[in-house]
Amino acid sequence: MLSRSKGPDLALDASYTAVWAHLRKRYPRMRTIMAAAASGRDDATVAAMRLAEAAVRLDGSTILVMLLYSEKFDPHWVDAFAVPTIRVIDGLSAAQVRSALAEGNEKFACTIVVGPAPQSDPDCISLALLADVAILVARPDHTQFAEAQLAARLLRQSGVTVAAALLVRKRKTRRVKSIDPKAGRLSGQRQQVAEVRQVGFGDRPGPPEVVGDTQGQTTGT
Amino acid sequence: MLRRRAALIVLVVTAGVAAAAVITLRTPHSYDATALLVVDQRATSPTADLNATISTGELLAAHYIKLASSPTVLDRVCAQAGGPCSYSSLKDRVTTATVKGTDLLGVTVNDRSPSRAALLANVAADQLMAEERAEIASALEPTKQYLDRELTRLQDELTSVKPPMLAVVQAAYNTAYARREAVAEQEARLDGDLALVEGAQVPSKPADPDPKRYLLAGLAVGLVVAFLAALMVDRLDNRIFEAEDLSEATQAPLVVAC
Repeated sequence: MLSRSKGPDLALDASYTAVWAHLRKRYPRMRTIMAAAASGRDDATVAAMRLAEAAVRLDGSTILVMLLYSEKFDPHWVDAFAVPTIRVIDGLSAAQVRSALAEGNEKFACTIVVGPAPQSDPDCISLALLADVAILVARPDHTQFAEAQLAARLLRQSGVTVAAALLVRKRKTRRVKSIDPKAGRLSGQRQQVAEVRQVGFGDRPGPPEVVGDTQGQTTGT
Repeated sequence: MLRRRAALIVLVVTAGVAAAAVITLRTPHSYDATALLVVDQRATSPTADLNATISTGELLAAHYIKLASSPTVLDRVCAQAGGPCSYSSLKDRVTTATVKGTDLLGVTVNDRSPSRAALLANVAADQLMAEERAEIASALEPTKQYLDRELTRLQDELTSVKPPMLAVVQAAYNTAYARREAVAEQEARLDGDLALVEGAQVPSKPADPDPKRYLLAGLAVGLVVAFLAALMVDRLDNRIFEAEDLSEATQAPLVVAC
């Protein structure tokens, strides 16, 4: 019987790869991207992570993703990305992001800062001014037209280059299938995810680096 | 737009069909019974050509349709059928119409009871024929009375007159007699221009509500309302649905749906 296979989301990857390729071509010296939500109800985290993933696959570089502290932030979204060369730092304040951007870090080919909508948090604009370009992230059936319009206008009025706008459909996070050595069979349960997450600011004294696992436990290093 | 509002459309259409189902269940059943009469226009003008015959038939049918809903006929129907019945309650439930393409006339009565609907239809047909006969008799009565008086007078004269006047009176008598016979023949012929073909049968299925018709109407109304509602909601809804919307809102050089 014919059936539809739920393989890797190639179309999804292709979209982000195309976006990244376009950004690279148009802004070759781009080092920092501000991924901002288009409205107060949107979140740019998933789009930023996918874009980072595309950048890693396309350029083979290491990407730093800095997530501003947000109540809407869902760590499971980040856990689902199994790309070792993406460093994710979440729960940062605007001052911490600003400081990190000012210092710069040659280890990373590009830094993506994930922030809220410009109209809901003025820090978004101030951080976007430090970035080379900004991208707006909206969700179909969710983002109001007027809000997206306002977000783009606020960024432009502040002198920020709005390089792209992404309409991100809500999709299920991917699960990593791995061989269960004990059972000797494929396990559908999510095992340890590959990326390293760092809570707090990495170059300063802060909370220990943690590794997320399937049970939601954290391990100090 | 239709795909986006599919839920709303399905909801409204379902509501329309459900409302039709509720109306079907709650509407009291009513039954139609029809008695068929034939309008024989040839009886009225046996020598007329086809066009004249058809025109006569149409006129007669129109006359009977009007007559069937007259207070005279309906009051008699009520009197004969008995039960709770009056002209005012019956007039809207009696429909008389020609059967298309035929010379038949259908007298249909609608009632909550199937047997009473059949009874009323049959009584209405009978009363219509009786009224028609009474009309013919009434129209010919003066002629008949005149000829009868004339025949009596000429018969009396025949006994008293002497030749040569006897032959004249006899000829007059014969003429009057022939005319009287012609009137009688005409009366008999006209009596047959409206006859019962088929009495009303007790209906087995209610005429109203017709579930199929009601549900189809509910579906049609639901579809129209759903489409209009979807259009209206879509106009009022200013959310972003497509990449084109986002492009228009942000004016970004690159807009991608991921």
